[in-house]
Amino acid sequence: MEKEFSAQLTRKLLRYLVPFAIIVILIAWIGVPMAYCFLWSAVDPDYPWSYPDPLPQKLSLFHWRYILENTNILGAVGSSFFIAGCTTILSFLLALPTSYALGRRQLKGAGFFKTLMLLPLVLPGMAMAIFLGRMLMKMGLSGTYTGVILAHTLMGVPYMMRILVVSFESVPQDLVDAASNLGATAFTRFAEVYFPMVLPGLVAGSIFTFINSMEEFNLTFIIGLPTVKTIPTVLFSYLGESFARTRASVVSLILLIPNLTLLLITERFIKTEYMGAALGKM
Amino acid sequence: MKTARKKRKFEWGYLLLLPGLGYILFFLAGATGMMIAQSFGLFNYTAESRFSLEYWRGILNETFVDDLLYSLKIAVCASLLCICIAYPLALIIKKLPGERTILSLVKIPMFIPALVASLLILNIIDYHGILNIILVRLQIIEEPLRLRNDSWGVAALLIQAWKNIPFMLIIMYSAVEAVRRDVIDAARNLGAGRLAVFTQIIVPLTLPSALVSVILVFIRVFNDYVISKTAGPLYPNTISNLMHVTAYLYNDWPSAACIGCLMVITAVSFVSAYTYLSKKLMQNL
Repeated sequence: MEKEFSAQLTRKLLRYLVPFAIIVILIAWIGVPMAYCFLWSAVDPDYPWSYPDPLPQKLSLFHWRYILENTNILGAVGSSFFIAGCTTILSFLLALPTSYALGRRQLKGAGFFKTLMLLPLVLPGMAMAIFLGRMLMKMGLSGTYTGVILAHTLMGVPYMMRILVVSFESVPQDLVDAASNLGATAFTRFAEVYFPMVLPGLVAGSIFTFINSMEEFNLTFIIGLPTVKTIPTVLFSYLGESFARTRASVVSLILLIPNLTLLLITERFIKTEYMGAALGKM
Repeated sequence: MKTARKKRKFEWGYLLLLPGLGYILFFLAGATGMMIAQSFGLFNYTAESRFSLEYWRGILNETFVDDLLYSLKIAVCASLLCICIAYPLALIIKKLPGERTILSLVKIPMFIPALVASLLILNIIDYHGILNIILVRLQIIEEPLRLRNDSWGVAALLIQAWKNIPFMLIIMYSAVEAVRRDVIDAARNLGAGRLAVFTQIIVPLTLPSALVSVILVFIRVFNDYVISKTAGPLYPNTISNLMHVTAYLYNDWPSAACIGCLMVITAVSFVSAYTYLSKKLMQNL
C-alpha cells in the first residue's frame, strides 16, 4: 500500500517536474543569449569586457548613442517597416483569390499546384536572390523600393497561401449552402461567411509574411543595396563584413524588439496548426 | 446546357490561380532562365555575350567540391541532430501540463532572424563567452575552446540547431496533436498496451511529418548563407558563399550561374531521392 502510494507520488512529481525542467531549459535557451546581447550592447568602451570576466565591468549607453547618432539606423527601421507593410498587403491581394480557388473549388491537380507554390521557399535563397536581382535589373528595378517589395512578395505569397488555403478548406460547406439558400449573393457570401471564418488565418498569414519580410536578408542585400537599406543589411555590415560585436548587438536588439513585440501581441492568433500548415505538411 | 455551364465555372476557378501562382511562376521562371542563360555565357556583363560551354568545363574544381561537401555535411548533421531532439520532445510535451507555455516559448526562436541568432549564439560560445567560462570554472577544460570559425563548423552547426529545433518541434507537435484521440481509445479498448499504441499508432501516424521536417531543415541549412558566413569556417564555406564571392568579388557571373544551377540540381536530386526512399519506407511499415 505504501509502496503504491510512493510510486504514485513519484509519477505525480515527475508529471510536474519534467515540464518545469523543460520550461527552465527553454527560458535559458532563449533568455541567456538575449541577456548577453543586452550586456554586449551596453559595454562601456573605456572598460573592455574580455576573458575571464563573466560580466562587463561597467555599463553605459555609449554604443546605443553612437548607432542612433552616427548611422542612419532609424531610416533603415523605417524602410524595413515600409517594405514589410507593402509586402504583406501585396501578398494578401495576390494570395486571396488563389487560395480561395485551391481551398474551395475542387480543381483538378490541386495537389500539384499546392506543391508548386512552395518552390520559392525551397530553391536556394542566394541563387534566387542573385539571378532575380539580374532579372529586376533588366526591368530597371534594381536598387528601388519597388524591386525589393516585389522580391519580398515572392517569398511572402507562399506562406500567405499555405495558411489561407487551410483556412478556406476548414469553412464548413453547409454554412455556405445555408447562406446561398437564404439568397445571399456571391459578395454577401464572401463578406458574411468566408471572411469572418478565414480571418484568424489571415492574421496569422499576415504576421508570418510581415516578419519574414522584416528579417529577409539575401534579397535585400542583393537587390536593394546600395540605395535600400533595411535593418538586416545594416546588421550584416557589423557582423559579416567586419565584426563589431557591440554595435551588432545594438542593431540586433533594434531588429528584435519590433518582431518580438508583434509576436507577443498576436501570439494567440498564431495557432500551431497554422504554423504546421505554413511550414510543414507538404 | 448544363455541361456548358459547368465548363465555364471550371475555367473561372483556374483563372483565380493566376494572381498567386502566376506571380510566383513569372519571377521564378525569370530568375531560373536568367541563371541558365548566364551559365552558357549569355547576358554577360563583364565580357562579350556569346554562347559557350567553357564556364561549365572549369566549374568542378577543388574549391567547388570542398564547399559542396561542407554544405552537405552541415545540412545532414543539422537535420539529424534536430530530429533526434525535436521528435522525442514533441511526444513528451503532448503528455505534460504546461504545454501552452512551452509552445509559446518555442515560437520565439522562429521569429529571430538567422543573422541575429548567429550573433546571439556567438556571444555565448566565443572565447570569452559564458560557455567557456563555466567549463573552465568547472575545470572540465583548461583553455577556453575556440569554437568560432573552427575548421569543422561546430559553431555553425550549433547555431543551426538553435534556430531549427524549435521550427521542427512546431511541425512535430502539430503532427502529434493531429493523432485522433478515438483511434488511441479504440486500440486501448481492443487490448493494446501503451507500447503497442506507441509503436503501432503514434509512430506510423507521425512519421510522415518527421520525414518531411527532416528534409525541410536539410534544405534550409543547405541554402544557408549568413550563418556559415558569420560563424562557420573560413574555408571551406557554403556553396551559397562561393556563388556570392564568384559573382561579386571575382565578377565572374557565368561561373556563379553554373554554381547556382549545380546547387539547384543537387538540392532537387537530394530531395527527390529522399522522397522516394521515405515513400518506400512508409509502404513497408
